[in-house]
Amino acid sequence: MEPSQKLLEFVRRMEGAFGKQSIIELKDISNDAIQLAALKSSHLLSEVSLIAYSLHKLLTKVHIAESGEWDALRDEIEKDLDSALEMIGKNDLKGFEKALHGVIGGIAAVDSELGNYVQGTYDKARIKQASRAYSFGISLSRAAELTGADKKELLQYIGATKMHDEEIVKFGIGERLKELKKALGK
Amino acid sequence: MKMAKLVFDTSSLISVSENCLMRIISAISSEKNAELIIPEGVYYESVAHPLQIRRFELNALRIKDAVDSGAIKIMKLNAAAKNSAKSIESLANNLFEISGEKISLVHAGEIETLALSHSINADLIVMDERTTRMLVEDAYRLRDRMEEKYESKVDIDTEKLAELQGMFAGAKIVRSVELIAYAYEKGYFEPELKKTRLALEAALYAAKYGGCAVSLEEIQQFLKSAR
Repeated sequence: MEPSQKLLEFVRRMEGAFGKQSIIELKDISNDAIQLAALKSSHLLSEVSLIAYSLHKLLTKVHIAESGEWDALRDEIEKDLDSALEMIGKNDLKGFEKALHGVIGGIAAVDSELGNYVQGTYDKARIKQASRAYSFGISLSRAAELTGADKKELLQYIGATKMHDEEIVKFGIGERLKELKKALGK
Repeated sequence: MKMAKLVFDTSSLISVSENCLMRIISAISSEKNAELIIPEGVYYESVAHPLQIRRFELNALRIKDAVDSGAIKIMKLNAAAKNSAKSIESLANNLFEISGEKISLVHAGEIETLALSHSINADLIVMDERTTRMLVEDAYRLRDRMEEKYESKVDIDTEKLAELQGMFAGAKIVRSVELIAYAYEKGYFEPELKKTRLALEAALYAAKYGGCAVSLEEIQQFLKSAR
């Protein structure tokens, strides 16, 4: 079951942080939301996390903030955030999800009109926060499914982090290699 | 000689193919005493689905070629394996809880690999992903890690754990790095790469940076002993 109260709290925080253009707060909201999403297997919390992460990312880009089109695009995103807040306040999860998709559409519009990369901000957020979810202990596929991240990209992203260096090794390469040779009869 | 059955999950297959090391798969498969197997779900995740996405097509084609050539066999889950999958899902996804909240740890893809391995009594599971491996090998360490990350107490259902451990008692897991180390010893890198220590080192690091759950320390330790 989706945690409506938590969703309400997160979207309220996110709307406030976006209004204040608080980059750090948006990132914190995103990280808090993905942690809870992993715990509760909540797709809506995951979407909230990805949106907060994307908004944080957009606000860090000077060429976006300084463009003439940004004000209008930002207004659209704020409208959809208002709508999401209203829907979750009424416990209308379908309406809430639709409003979130409106925000995601707004982020895509910014990418399309002002972005420099083929891969969109929201897709990058999927990978980044899926990696974070994986770091909390859920499996690779579960993290990919929760965020909609591509598994191959996720693997590569995780490979570039220090995550696997933090593990205490139970069986090293030498021991596992012995098992492999044993199985193959060598 | 008994045929060794190796069941691959998606993470290891992607890792090997991404690093252009599919020849390792073909070489091991051609040893005639090894059967390399993937469940249907892994084929979908590593071939059928990425073939529809331009960025991922090349890698998917490499794996498809290995399947088409017979180096890798696709296996359907039979009724017994489907039952195993149900049990594994119910056990693994109800094993840990934080403040009464059960944590859904693993997904259908990983469950399918475990279920197939269990039902055919596989000799080895080939898996680069960390969580599922730790779940099978050392659930308490996984619990400790989660406690650290969540900064909360994580409870384990010991009865469910015992049942899961019972299903995988004696199960052996290897990763793409062990396949690489094996291939190096057997000279399977050639002719693409000479059998040099540098080639081994490069291939191991490529697997690590491709996402294989192996630490730098493990690689360095292994390289010290490798000839």
